[in-house]
Amino acid sequence: MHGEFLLSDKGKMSKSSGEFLTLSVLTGKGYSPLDYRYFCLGATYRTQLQFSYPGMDAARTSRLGLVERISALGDQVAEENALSEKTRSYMDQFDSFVCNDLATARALSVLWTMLKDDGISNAEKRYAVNYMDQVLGLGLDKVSSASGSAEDIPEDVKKLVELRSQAKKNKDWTSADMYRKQIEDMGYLLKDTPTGPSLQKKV
Amino acid sequence: MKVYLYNTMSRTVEEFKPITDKFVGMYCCGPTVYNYAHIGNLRTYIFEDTLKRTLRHAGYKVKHVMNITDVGHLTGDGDDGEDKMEKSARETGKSVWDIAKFYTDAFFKDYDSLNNIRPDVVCPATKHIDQMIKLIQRLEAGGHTYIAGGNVYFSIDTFPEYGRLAKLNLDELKSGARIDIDSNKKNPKDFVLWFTNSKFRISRLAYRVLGNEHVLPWRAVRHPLRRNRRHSGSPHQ
Repeated sequence: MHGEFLLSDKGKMSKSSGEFLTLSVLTGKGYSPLDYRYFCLGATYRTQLQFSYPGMDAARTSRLGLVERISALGDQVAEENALSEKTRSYMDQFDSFVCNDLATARALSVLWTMLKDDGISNAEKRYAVNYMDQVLGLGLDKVSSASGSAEDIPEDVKKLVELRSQAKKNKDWTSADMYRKQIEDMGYLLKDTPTGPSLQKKV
Repeated sequence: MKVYLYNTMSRTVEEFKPITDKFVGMYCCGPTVYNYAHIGNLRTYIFEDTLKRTLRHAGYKVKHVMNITDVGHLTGDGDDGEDKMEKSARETGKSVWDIAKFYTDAFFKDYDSLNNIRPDVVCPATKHIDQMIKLIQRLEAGGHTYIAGGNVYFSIDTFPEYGRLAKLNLDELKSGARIDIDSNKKNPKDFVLWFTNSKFRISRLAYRVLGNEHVLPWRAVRHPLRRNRRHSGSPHQ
């Protein structure tokens, strides 16, 4: 078996063609290495993959979306012998894709569909996530629900959130962005919601 | 669980059937540790890790072996160019051992952060020179090699199946188009198995790594750099 090339905008990625794109360059721009893994899983190994930052952004958004959904499931995991037919069928579908020449992109879509299905319990979803992550390797089995309780957030971060809210009230957008960046540097992602800013630990 | 995989040799997706029941021996080419890996290189390791995970998920026991190329990878496409490690050492003033260690560590840092499972066996090329020599001697005994200009070549004319894996049409391939023609070669597609007489002083690296005794089996011509010096103690563990 052979894997296909990654292409930069100048053709096959190599040391000699333009900016030397190492993983450090990506992490320096704020991506997690797991975003790159998600990006690669979204294509099949036998096709050339065109690298792009919009592509990386999409991968990151999707991966963080998965993390958010999974952390909202709670920590309870169903027992293997108590799984419903529906959950089993998702797992079988997932298997059939990965076992067919590593069709990871299609396998990912099964994961998404399963997570959005209101017909199965959170505990069963947790089980299925762990099962599928054995192959995907995105660290989804380690996502816990304890990533957003107010008691965990350090005082410094809370202060920055306050400062940002003030800046926004004063329409000082530059400062607001600066505070948001500082919050991110401290390991938290800030999201504005209708009920106020919400923080999530960076993964 | 049945697994279907694309077989490069047959150019089709086939049902995977292991040689040994429920067991897979998987060998994957590892990095050349003369510089950082770029993300194109890293894509390959993600693919291989996915393959390994899938096979284990399907119930196979998988033994994953990966080499580290810490010597012998030339800068040119063919048999030309310098040894990449030697070149890096020359340019930075560090020893080849330091360079290999530094970039091996950097490689595994990236590898781990991508959540790849480590291979079961990691084997640097420099630790398997004896086996390489024995393999070349086997080829020699089988009549597949010749010596010219101090170097040992593989003679592709002795192996009709050559090129099937890469689907090379040997008549169509224009040799000399990107590679300097080596007048030592019987067939321009022949490749070097062992250098004792490279104009880019790969032999000096070989001496440093191996000591004189390993170079001797194929020393057809008295090498100009040979000075009867034992190579200085290797910091290799």
